[in-house]
Amino acid sequence: MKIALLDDDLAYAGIVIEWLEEAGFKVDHFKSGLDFVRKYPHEHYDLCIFDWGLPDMEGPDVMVSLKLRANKLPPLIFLTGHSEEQDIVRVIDAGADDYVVKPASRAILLARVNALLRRANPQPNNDPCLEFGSLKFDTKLRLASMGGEDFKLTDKEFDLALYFMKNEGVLLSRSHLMQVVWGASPDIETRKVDVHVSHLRTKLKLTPEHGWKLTSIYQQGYRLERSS
Amino acid sequence: MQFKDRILIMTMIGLFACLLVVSIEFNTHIFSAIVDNKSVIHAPVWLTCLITIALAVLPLFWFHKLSPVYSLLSICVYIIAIVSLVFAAAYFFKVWVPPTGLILITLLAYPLWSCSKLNAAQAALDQALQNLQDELARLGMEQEMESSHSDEDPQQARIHKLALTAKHLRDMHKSRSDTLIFISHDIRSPLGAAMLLLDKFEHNKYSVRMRQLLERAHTMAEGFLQASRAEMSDVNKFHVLDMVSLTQQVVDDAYELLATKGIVLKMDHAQDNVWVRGDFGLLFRAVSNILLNAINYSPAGSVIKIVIENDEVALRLKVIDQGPGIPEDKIQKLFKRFSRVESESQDQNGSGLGLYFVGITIRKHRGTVSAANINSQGAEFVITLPLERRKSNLAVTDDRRVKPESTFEDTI
Repeated sequence: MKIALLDDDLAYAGIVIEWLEEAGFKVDHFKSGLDFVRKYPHEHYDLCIFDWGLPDMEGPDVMVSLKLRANKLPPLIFLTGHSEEQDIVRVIDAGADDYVVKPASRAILLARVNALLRRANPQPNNDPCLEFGSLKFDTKLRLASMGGEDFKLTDKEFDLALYFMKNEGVLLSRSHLMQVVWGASPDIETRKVDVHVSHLRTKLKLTPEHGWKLTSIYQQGYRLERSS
Repeated sequence: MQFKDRILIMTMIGLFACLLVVSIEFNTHIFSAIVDNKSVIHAPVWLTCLITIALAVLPLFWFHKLSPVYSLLSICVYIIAIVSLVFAAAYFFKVWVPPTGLILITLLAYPLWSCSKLNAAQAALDQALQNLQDELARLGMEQEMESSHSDEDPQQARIHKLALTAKHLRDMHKSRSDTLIFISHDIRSPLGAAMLLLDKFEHNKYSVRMRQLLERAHTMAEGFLQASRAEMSDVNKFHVLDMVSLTQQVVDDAYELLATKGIVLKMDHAQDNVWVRGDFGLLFRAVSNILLNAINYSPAGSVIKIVIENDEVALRLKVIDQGPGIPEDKIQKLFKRFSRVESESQDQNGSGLGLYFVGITIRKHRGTVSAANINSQGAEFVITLPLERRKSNLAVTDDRRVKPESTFEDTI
């Protein structure tokens, strides 16, 4: 697996490269947006990590340049120095898959990278019974259970839960969830997603005691992770 | 006493004496014209003088306490009252006390006095404004109004000057916050990178100590950054959020810390969702700061209780711990900048800005936050926030985010 890292902050980039290489990835490091845009068509990358602010252009601008040259972009993570709501909204609106607030720890960075790579390269699985930790999902009977005990989920809750489980560790924007679970109906209430997610947390016990962590990211999106 | 005031008082006394003499004569004629009643007798001159002086001095008791408009009104009412009294005395007691002197004195003296008072106040305010401007000029704020507005009406110029000074003060506050945000933000990155690099070294007492120092600096920078952001946050950008989910997430985040310290957390909420209008990031950090504070002062094996309750208008979020409580003299200062409940047994790595941040954030959300000791043992922090009372279908349109213009279109 090959990762492109675009960051002009050498101290932090050095650490990130070391982490990624230790985890078995091959890393190409670029210090300027232009260098990367020139090199990109000749290389294949499985994932890109961009710093938001670069000396010659901003991270999202690099993305646009890439889109002009290629149809499909690999999963993209933005490194951002800010962790405010407006910054996260910008990241999601720019079309990135996830973000990491600098300076992130090794565990968080690798978790984000691995989650996106898992989603980009799904393992074919035709088994109707799926297991996520101690939770079992029967997609045929549309039943969720834990330790032989069935949960009473509504249709939407089941869809939402399954989608969360299949995208473990991935940042799922609220509008994306609305589209996937409720269809592209623009009139749907935004509170509805929050209420459904809060029901799921209670019903499926998605708490650190039970090995899960379900996080709302400024209510712009949600992320389901396994709790360490 | 100023020279002007003395002149005024002298004039008043002179007027007073002249009017008194003239009015006694004058009133006799008026009286005979108005009241054609043979049985009414004139009050002796000494009595008329005495009553006039007493009644002229009487408004002194309340006049200085009232605003200009009310003092003018009170004088009018007073004069009407005096005239009514004089006629009442003539009618019931058959005694005529000539009121003209008294009326003229009251009519002239008090408005004059009021005018001098206003004049003095204006001079004082002008002086204060000038001092403030000099102060601002010393701090490097330019004074562009002097030249451009010198020919204006002085009252107008004064108002303009005040508005400009207020604008300068606002600009200064904003630039101070911007600088603080800039510094705290940019100082965080190298500190964070340094902490990550430190992990590469073997653990020894120096590396541990160094890590503590770096962490403290990082916490401090973070504290300043967050407090400035809370101060600058825009109430118009708040949106509807569920405080129960938010609090659950705070608890989830603290799970490891709770487990490490062996503290049990009990959360109690009557309803599944309680909606308020706010900034998710700020409220999350505010609740988190209070919980972390409780964890920091809780002994191992103790219980922290979080209770969320609400009535029709407000939500109450309580965090109750079984720690040593807060020293009584510290409670008042708890939500002020750089306050920290010092305790020898606790580690002192707080920035002193955690609860200050809570105070600002909750005020921005039109709520209150308070702390108190519990009789048995421990402390209780209570946040109250007004509920979002709009019907949910209204909230949707309101809550729908205006999409910022796409970065792509900007650049293509």
